[in-house]
Amino acid sequence: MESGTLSRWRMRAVAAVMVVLALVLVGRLIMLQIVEHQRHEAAADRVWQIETKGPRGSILDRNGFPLVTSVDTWEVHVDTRIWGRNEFQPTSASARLAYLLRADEAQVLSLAASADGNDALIAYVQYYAGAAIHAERLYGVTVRKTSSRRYVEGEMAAPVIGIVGRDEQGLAGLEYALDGTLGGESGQLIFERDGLGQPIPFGARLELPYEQGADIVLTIDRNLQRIAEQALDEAVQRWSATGGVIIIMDPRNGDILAAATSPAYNPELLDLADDAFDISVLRSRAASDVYEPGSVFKVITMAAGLDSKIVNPYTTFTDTGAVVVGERTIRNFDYSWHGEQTMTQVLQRSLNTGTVWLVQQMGSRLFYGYVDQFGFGELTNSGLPGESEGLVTQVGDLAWSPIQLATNSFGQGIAVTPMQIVRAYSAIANGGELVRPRFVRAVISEGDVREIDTVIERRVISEETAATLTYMMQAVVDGVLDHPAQAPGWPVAGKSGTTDVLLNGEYSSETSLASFAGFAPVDDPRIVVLVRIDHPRGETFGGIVAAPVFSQIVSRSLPYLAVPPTTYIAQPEAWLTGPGEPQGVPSASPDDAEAEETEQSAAESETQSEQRVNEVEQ
Amino acid sequence: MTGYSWRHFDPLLLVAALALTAYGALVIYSASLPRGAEGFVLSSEVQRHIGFAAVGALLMIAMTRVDYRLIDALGWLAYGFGIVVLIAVLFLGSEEFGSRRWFDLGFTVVQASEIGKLMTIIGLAKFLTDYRDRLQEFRVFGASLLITALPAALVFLEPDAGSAIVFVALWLVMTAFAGARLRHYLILLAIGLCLIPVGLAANVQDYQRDRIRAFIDPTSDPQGAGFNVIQAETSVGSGGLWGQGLTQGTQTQLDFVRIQTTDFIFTVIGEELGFVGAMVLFGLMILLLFRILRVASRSPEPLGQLLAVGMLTMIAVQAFINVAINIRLLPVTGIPLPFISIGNSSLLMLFVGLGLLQSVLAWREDHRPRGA
Repeated sequence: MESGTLSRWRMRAVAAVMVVLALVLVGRLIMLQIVEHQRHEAAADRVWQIETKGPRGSILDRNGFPLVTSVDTWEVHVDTRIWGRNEFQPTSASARLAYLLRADEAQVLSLAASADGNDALIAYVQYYAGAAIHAERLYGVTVRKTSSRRYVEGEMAAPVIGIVGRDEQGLAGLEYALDGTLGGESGQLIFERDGLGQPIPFGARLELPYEQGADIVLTIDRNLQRIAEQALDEAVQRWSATGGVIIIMDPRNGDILAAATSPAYNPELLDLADDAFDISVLRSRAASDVYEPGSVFKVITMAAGLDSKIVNPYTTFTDTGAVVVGERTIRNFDYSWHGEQTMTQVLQRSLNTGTVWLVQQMGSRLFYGYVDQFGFGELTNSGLPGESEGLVTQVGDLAWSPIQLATNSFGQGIAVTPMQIVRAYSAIANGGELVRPRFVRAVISEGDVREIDTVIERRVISEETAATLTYMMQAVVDGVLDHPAQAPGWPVAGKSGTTDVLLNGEYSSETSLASFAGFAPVDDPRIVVLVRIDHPRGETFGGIVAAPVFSQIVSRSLPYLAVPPTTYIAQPEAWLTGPGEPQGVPSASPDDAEAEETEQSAAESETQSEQRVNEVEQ
Repeated sequence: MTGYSWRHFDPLLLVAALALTAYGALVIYSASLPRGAEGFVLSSEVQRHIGFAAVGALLMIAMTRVDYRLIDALGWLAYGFGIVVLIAVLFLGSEEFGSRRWFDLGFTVVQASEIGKLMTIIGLAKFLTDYRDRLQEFRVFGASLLITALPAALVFLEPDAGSAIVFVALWLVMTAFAGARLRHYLILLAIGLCLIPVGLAANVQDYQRDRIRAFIDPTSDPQGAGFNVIQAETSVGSGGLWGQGLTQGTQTQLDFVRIQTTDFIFTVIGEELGFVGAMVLFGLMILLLFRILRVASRSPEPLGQLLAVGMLTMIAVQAFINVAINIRLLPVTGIPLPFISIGNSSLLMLFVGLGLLQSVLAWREDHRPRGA
């Protein structure tokens, strides 16, 4: 070693040796990982990994009757790498498989040949057929256990329950909203497989167990659901309507006992691949579709007036038949005027001028405060997917004007969902407390039942106001001679509404959304019912189209709920109250449609309205 | 100028070592992931790897303060300590997989050969510095071999043939650096060749013979000795260019490759991080080795140079052999991949060794040969 230091060439030699050694490794890696990559990957591929799923939970009605369950089926798969070696030409395996599937061999082969990737799904078969194919261990054929959905009650409650896709993934309705609960946690099966694609019996194997999905007990009662669906179908047919909604809710705990919507669909026959299929029927219309509630909303306005002590049932105002707000003239639906009228009569006769007068007494802050309290513009959290909040314009919004306040008072210019109306009416039936509507009563997982608690959101109006308002709403039905919503045997409270709809960009007098909302029996309400018939032909008024359906629902449901009829018969004479009462008993008139904010001349209007009233009376 | 100077501290040396350790922690994380684990599970192996790296980094910085010329006085003591440890492990070590390599201290295990390797580097560096003028004599050359052969033989007795090879490599490179004569190597080689048949008959264990056969033709015993060789090759090969993704390799996650947190950890890199992942490893490793080489070239005197060359040899040889075994370029023998494999003592000794080199850098002004 010269002069104590290492020579420079030794350093270089070390560096060179290091680089050479590194290059040796890199070269070998290029060989292994790039040149021979596919061969090694194929070797590693013998480790096969599949996702396993337990049976999806059932959906039961509130009494435990199954509405939807899952049954075991088999998927038949072909490994295309194995069949591909014969160029997908017929073999003994394909012939046998075709025979077992009762299918054409050429079709089986073409299905296998046309698959993407290594795995071709050939067929779904029932349990015994699948077990038979499994037993034969055909070359390149594997069968995997899966399950499919069975709709025990057919179409019943389909829009609420929803559907699943092929992989049993919830796609709509509660199947979608509760997908995680129903579907459970998927597991994994990892195994070594042989040349046929079958697991090697004693090969490496790793199974991560799945977690079975839970059963869901709905609040829906299949008998009440049947009653609601039948009534809805009859009404839609009778009025040649385009559809409708009926919701029955227990106001005490928020249980949705029935939710029928039309148009509906049959989940067993559903073909999502069909282009003609209207996918909008999958929407949970009861919660996701908004409409203008019309006069049904007058009850909310009245609740605000009573609770803020601005008026009582006997407070009077003078109905001149028209109120001028800004540039608009608001009239009653039938262009009538009645002189001095009580608040009860405002509801009975559905006087637009009355509610406009009332909100003007209240002022916008008070009114919209109550609208918010009743939960309009707010999700009901019923659990249906795609729920809408509706639309309530507030003072200060760009769209708001004094006209807005006036029209809102009788349910125009405000958008709500059927669920919101039912919830708001339930608050009145429930002594003033707003209860959250719910579709799920309990979740049953292995050996564990979890009950869903009732949620009281808040107190909206005082108990006294609720009682007073109930009395006034009873006057609307039982205080009118032969009101079609009456249900002999039970005292009934309610209010009808007629929503003008736009036809070709204009409010049309030809058609409407005819609705009726109410509850029964009045002394201890057990059901709140909303009936809405969409675009009835021939009649537009909620009091004519929807009220009889309401009556029908009440008379059929209450006996089923063990609330037997009493000797109660509506006696309109007992309800004649307040000054300015016209002579005689108010007639069962279609009193509930609100006036269009018409730009038509008064003369034209009057003739038209006379015609309409005449038609009704006939 | 006297004393050490922090100015000469090489941060890149520290950074390269820490980067390699972090890369190791990442790979150990995947390799030690419990089956079916969901989310991020930091196994105790990973935690310990990171913990020991942190302790190691601190030791490395602390070592900078210590004048490496203490070796002049204490070199033989250090070497002697290493020999005592290697002897002690044969009697007191805990037995695992049929060999006695570790002391079980309760909270951690200590691998004797890791201490032995560093102490041998120190001893050999001291000897070659002291006798550098007489290395041309065969007696002195032979003595350097004996200094290395003693610990190598003790390690071989554990048995741990892999580590024994590292000692041989250390001797070869360090003596060559110090200026030994080519003729002497050839003489030793001739003697060695004559002794091979004797050695084979006496010393080669059955498992070693199996491993050599498995290396030549792994399919001769695919479920036995050849199993890991085949699985390792499949793992690395299936990784391809980009790898299957961290924690996504079926070979790794299903534990097809055995001892994949230590001797076969490279298969995890190969399978899950692919060719690119391997290149990252090589890049970091080469950066580290060049920084060590830089220490050798900066040191003005032979002790510092020989220490650097010794460390370089130890790391490079282990890394090369380990990777070569993983990709079936060499027969199987147990050698860890420095900084990457799990091995607390290995990690600590590596950082201590690098600390010694930082000391060489820091104190070099002080040890410039007078009159040079």
